[in-house]
Amino acid sequence: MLRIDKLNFSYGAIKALTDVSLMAATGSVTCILGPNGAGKTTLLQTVAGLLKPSAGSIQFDGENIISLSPSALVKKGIALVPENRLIFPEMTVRENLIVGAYLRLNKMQKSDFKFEIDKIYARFPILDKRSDQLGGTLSGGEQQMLAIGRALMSGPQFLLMDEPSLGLAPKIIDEIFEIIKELKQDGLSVLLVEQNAVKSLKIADYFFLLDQGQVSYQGGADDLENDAHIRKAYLGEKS
Amino acid sequence: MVITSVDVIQSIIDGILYGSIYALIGVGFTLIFGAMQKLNMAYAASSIAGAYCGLGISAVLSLNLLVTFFLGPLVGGLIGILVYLVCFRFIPSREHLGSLMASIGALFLIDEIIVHETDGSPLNFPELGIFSEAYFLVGEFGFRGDLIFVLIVSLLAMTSIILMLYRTKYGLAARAVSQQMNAAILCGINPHKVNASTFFLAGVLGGLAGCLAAAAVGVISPLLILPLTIKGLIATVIGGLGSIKGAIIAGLLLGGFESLFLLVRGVNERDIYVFLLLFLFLVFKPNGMFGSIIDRD
Repeated sequence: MLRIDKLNFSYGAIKALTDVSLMAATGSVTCILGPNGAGKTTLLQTVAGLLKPSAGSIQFDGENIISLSPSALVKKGIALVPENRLIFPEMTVRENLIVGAYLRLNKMQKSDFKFEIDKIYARFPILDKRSDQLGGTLSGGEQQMLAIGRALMSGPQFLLMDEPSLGLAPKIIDEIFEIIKELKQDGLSVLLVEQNAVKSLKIADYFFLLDQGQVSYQGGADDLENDAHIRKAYLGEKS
Repeated sequence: MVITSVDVIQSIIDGILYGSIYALIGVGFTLIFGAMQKLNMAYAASSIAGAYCGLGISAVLSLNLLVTFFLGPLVGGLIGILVYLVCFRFIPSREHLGSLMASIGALFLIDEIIVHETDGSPLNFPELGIFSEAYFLVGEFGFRGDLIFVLIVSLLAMTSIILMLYRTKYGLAARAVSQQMNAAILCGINPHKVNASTFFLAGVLGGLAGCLAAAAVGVISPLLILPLTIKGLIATVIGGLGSIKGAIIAGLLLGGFESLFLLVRGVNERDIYVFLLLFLFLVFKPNGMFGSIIDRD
């Protein structure tokens, strides 16, 4: 379980997160919704250790992880699929996946390694086809799958995903959300940041709304759907 | 003096062989530029300093030339790490001029230290034994044994670096950091460690280049620093910033070009033409011969 308590973060004088508290239960998909600039990406980057918060705590399975480095967090089983995918453009798809397993390279046998990569290829058959192609030549949807595959190569228990649907065609978005559902079925916990509220409602168990760096609402999928204000603001429904 | 076609080709051959030193320095600049998107202006200075230390330690302990060629690169690598720590590690990466200015400072500092320690006079660098005496004739053209040695050692060193980049775990991490640093961090790679290793490796190449240059010229002097800095940078730019292959080819061609103009126009005008070549590239082919046009965000 991931538990964030009264987290604060500022970019210089600009406050990005103010006393953000939230919980993401093991084995579930927790979704953070919010408009651009609400602090969603900042929040995920803080959890992944890329940014150091000015105050607050982050606990993972009861242990305070706030001072850990990104690599220590990967070792603990927390992996971030970053916004805009950030794949390695001049490496092949296969090499991108190998870098994902960087911290396990010494421990893994060659056969284990092949097994892990084959698991990713089974989940994303298109990556198998593109195995020797450079990452920079992939389409947006393929890059997103590669970014998810790369994060999975570190063997995570908890996957942080930053707007995986960003800039993708509707059909591909459906595929990505289907994959998130499968990941949950396989026992992974997911903390998902999204702007696409309609799609998120179908797969997430619990929601937090982030607005100007503060949690403005939280509840289950049913609560969210039945809340008139939320329907208007986030589901694009006319009153 | 009448210049025959044999003279022209002979001078180009000599130049290309000596150009392998420019290629080495160019590859070093490229490695560091690839890692941090920054130029390390102190690079050729630390290379010559490495060669000085190698020579000095061997002289004090009366060890042979082979040891000099081992110690020079080693010290070059250590100075590389020092330069990284002082000029790059703690200066925020968005401050593009910060590291550049710091490394120019390091260039002058290293130069001054060498001048003070040696009273500004050049030291004899031991000749390359049997290689210095060897001279191979192929038809009408001659190949100097010491320059052949320089070329072979340089090519071996550059091949090893390329193999390290594409076949080892360090290489994987270095390429990851160079292409997309945040993603590399998220995969558990520590970019500071990787960059320190890159500066070390580049420094090893530089120390080797310093020893080779000194051996080919017969003396080592702080006066080697400026030409190596400038010609290494020109090789890097003409080859295409960030391209190792480009730096190697450009370094060799630059050597040949320079030697040709030494023959045709003399030593006073030689560098004018070298800069003209750089100017032409900057105007007509600013990405160099193998410059990457992939945008890195």
